[in-house]
Amino acid sequence: MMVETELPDDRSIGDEVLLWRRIPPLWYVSDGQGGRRLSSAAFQNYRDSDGRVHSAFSVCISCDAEEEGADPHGYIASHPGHGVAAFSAGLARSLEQRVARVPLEGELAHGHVIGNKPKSVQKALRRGATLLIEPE
Amino acid sequence: MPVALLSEADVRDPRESSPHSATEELLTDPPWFGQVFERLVALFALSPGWDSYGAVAPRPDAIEAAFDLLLQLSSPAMPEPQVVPLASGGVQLEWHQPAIELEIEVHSPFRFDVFYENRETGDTREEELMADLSPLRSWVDQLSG
Repeated sequence: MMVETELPDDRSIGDEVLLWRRIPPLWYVSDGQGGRRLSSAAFQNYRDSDGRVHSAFSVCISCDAEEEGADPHGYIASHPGHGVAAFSAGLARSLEQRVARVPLEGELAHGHVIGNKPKSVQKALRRGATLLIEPE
Repeated sequence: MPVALLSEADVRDPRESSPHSATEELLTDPPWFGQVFERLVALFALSPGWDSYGAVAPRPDAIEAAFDLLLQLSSPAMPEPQVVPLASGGVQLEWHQPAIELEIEVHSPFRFDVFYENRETGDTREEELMADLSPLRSWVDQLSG
C-alpha cells in the first residue's frame, strides 16, 4: 500500500460525495447546554503502534459503499454503540485535505482524508459534519 | 507495566502529592473532581483499536499529565471538563460554553496543544505549550468567570 503522503487527491470522488466516519461513544460529549455534540477528537490524524504520526484518518467513501449495497447502519454493524458522522469530500478539500481510495480486504470503500490537521481544521470538520447515527 | 495490567489501584491519586491538606482539598476541589478522576482512570482500560480504526491505547504518561494539569488549574468555580481519548494515545480535556471553547490536547507531561475561542471578543488562539502554562491559566479563569 502506498503511504498516504504519496496519494494524490482522487477527483473521481466528487465534492458532493459523503465520507462516513465511525464515532465511538467517547467522542460524543456534552455541549455544555444540556445536549451532546461531536468532539473535534474524531477528526485527528492517527498514529501507528510504532508511534509514527500519519497525515490521514480513515473514512468510508459512501458512493463506493452504496455500490456494494452498504449503508451507514451496515458500516457500524460490527461496532456496537458507535455512531456515524458524515461530511462531504468538498468540505475536506476546502480545508486543504486530499481524499483518496485506500481499499482494504473486506472494506473496499475504505478511504483516507489526507493532510495536516491543526485544531482549526479538526473543528471545521466537526462543525461541517452531520451525525447520521448517534453513538449510544 | 503493560497498560492492560493496570487497574485503578495502580494509579497514583495525584492529590496524594498535593501540597494542600485534606481540609484544604475539601474546600478547593471542584465538585466534579472525583467523577473526572474516575473517567481518566477508566482510560487505562482502553485497548489498542478502541476507536475501531486502530487507535493507540491512551498512554499512561498522558493520562497522568492530564491529572496533574487539572490539579494545577482547578478551582471551585471551574466547570467540569469533558475527558476524551485521542487516537494518538493522548487525552483531550474540553470545555464548551456559549461564548467560550477551550480544548487542551495532552500529549505528554510537557506538551499541550491548546485551542481557545472566545466568540464574544472574536479572539481565537491555537498554541503549543510546553513548560509555561500561564496563557492557559487566564483562559481557564474565563471559563470559571
